[in-house]
Amino acid sequence: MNLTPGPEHFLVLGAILFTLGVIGVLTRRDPLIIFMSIELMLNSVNLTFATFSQQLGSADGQVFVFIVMTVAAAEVVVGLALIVSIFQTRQQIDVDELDQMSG
Amino acid sequence: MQHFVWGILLFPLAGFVLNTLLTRLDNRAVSLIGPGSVLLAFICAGVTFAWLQGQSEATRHFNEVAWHWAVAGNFSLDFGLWLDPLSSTMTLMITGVGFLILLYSVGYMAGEDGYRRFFSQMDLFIFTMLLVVLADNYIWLLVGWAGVGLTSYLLIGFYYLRPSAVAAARKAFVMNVIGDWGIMVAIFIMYVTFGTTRYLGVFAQAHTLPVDGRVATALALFLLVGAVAKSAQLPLYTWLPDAMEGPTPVSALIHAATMVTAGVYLIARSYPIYEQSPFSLHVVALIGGIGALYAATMGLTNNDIKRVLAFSTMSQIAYMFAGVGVAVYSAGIFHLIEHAFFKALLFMGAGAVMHAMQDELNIQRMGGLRDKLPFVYWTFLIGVLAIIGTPLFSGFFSKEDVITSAYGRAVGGDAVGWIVWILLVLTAGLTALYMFRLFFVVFHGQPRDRELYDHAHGPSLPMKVPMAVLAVLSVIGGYLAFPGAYNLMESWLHAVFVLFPHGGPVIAPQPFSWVSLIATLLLTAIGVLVAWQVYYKRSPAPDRVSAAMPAVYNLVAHRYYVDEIYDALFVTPVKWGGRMLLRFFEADVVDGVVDGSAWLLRRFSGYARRIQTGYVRNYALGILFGAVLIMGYYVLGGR
Amino acid sequence: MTVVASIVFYVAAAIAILGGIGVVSARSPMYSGLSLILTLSQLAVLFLLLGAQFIAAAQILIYAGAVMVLFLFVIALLGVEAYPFLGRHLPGQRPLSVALAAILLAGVIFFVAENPRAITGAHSTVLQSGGNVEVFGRQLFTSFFFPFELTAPLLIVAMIGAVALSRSRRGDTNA
Repeated sequence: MNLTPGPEHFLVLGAILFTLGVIGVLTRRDPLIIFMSIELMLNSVNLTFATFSQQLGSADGQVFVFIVMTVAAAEVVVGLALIVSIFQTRQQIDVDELDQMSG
Repeated sequence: MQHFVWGILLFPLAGFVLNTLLTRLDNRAVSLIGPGSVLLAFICAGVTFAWLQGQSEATRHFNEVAWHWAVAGNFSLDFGLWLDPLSSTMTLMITGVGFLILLYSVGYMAGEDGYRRFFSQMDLFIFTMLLVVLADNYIWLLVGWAGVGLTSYLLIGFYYLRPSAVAAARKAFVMNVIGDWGIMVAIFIMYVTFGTTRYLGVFAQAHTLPVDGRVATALALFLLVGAVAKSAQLPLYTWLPDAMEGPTPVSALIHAATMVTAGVYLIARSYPIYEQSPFSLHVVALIGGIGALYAATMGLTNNDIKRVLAFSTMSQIAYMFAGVGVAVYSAGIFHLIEHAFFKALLFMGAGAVMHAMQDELNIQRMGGLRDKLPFVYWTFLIGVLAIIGTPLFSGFFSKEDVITSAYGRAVGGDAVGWIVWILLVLTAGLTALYMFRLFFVVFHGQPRDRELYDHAHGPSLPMKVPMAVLAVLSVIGGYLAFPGAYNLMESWLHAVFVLFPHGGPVIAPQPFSWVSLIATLLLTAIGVLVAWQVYYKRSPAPDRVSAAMPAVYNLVAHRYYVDEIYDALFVTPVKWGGRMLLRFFEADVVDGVVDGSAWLLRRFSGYARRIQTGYVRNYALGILFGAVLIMGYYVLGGR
Repeated sequence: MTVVASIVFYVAAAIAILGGIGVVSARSPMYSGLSLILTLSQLAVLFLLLGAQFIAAAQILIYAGAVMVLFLFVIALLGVEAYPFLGRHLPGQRPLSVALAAILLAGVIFFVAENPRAITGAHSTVLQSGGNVEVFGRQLFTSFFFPFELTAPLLIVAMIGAVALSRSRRGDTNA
């Protein structure tokens, strides 16, 4: 076991954070926390991109990180606006109450 | 030169952007930008057409890669344009007919809510449709393909307050997505096989595929799924009649002239692939032949003026399928162009009638409109004469081209060719019957609804001008080819179909045949005569028709007793065949299959319904499960 | 890596994971948000270790700064209400999620462990010698120019969408 951090350590760290995010999305009922879990997942992917970027000696991965950040920012803005607007009309935001699509 | 190619694409886009973003525009500016941008595109299309004309056959195409959209490993997705006689012909048709229909819309949509929305969406449609025909690889073709699906959805649902319109829009969208899926799968196969999705790369390698091999057939059939869904052919046709919920110019442009013919374009474009799979070509031809007859019968029994035209569209596109299916691609494209002229004209006529009759669609409440709407009467008559293939009208030449091609295949010893030819000739007769039925019921006889009749008024000038232009084109448009003498369409498109090596026979114009011509004309004449007898001479009221000719009327009203014929053919002989056999057959096989499939469906949908809990997190769990499955595949060595 | 860099990595990684656990398990969204800020700031440190200076700065400015402030603002606006972990509706959701997520993690670790340096390419001297921002900028404004330009309309659309969505309509607010 090599304890000096190499790319594999970064990758495993990314995987752990991603898994935590997945669990958060799947088990929480508060849309805000779900949103933050998604941010966590996006960031873990960013970490992976940056790792590969350094490893392959190309800045492409970092460009991807940059674009992911931009898209995430847009997504957060719209998502939070949606949550606020749902809260305005329904006075609560429990995702499990939003089940009109049930067949 | 290249600037003009870009102009074709960018002017409608600019029209869309302007009409969408400038929300304070008054309606006059909107009606200038909407058709104006398409007119500019038409001019660009004309310039590029002239340029292509000047090229020798070997260099008669234009390809430019504008930028690399995305690069991943050795795969590069580029955005590029491809212009050859085929796409040039299509762009001329789309922008030309599109401009006329938009001009017509200025009169037709006057005073409607959402005037600006209508024109911006129409411009967007024309842009995406041009993207379909100008793309230089399948991925961008699919982008345009999905784009026309989207704009078609938006425009069918234009009257979004009407639940039926929304439902129709959704239905059209879903069925079109089935087609998108087919093309997507074809693209995957293409990439795995050829390592590229560009036309140049794919078609240059297509002839190396084994003939009727797995890859060629799969490619051809998956592309066909897309073509069938977009062109409303069997069995994915049911969205087209419903799509008539949209405004009439939309029906004329999208669901008659351009979008629904994209399937024909796709097959003609992909000819190197289809040539490697004669089996798939037979499938295409059969879908065409059967669909033509099938749609014609439905047109005969419908009382909705736009739905009758929708069924006739389906029937005419089936002709085009038959044309490309017998590998005479120029015939299919020729009919596509002529059809755009006369079908757009017919829809414009229908729109003018609806305007006059306060949006009444039921032809049984019309009648006698000849005196009230003389202009519409004469242009509609020209459209009808063109569509049924009256000699010296445009439809005659193009339809004759298709039917002769099928006949050429048939005498060449192809059994499928015979089937298709017979179906097409029969359909020619039926076409005459149902089109003249529509014509007589709407324009002749006594007015059936006095109040509607008395308030009828003629179309305004912006509506009349495009109708007049299209009426002229519906007459002279066909002189591009003359049976047995010359075929300008064929020689113009020839460069397209010799550019890439392919395994099929050399595509040549089929020899002219008197047998085929006389058979077609004979049946057409019979169709006209029957319509004359039933709907003109004895027209006054449906009940008197049924009293005078019970056999014909009942036949028509009962959709040809198809169900009864099936009963008589299959059920009765079995019944008489023997009680034991019957009991066995009925109880175990038929009932077993029927009840069994019903039971299966019920059970399955029960399970499927339970999966739809409505909880988003639950669905997300499904995604995670899928991700784990994919990973498991790789862990277990599938790499 | 030097010993110091190794220690920095392990500390940052540990804090990031703790923060991640905090995001997922906190009762109140406010604590979740604060934990997320912790994780994001540690990720910035890790980006620095990877020689991605520009990304590290952007991480702090955009994420830990702007985005999280927006989050906390909305949390404060809606009131801090703690929802129980799982409602009555979905039995089995939680164990199934955790189990599947664990399998996913195990799979990734398996891949990484199987051939640890498989992705090792030529180490770029440019990226490591402090010229990172320059290389990054060159890439962004040449080969990725079009996507980069597209982010501008994307952000505008998002902004307009947010304004349109959260504008309170008269009549609705009293519902």
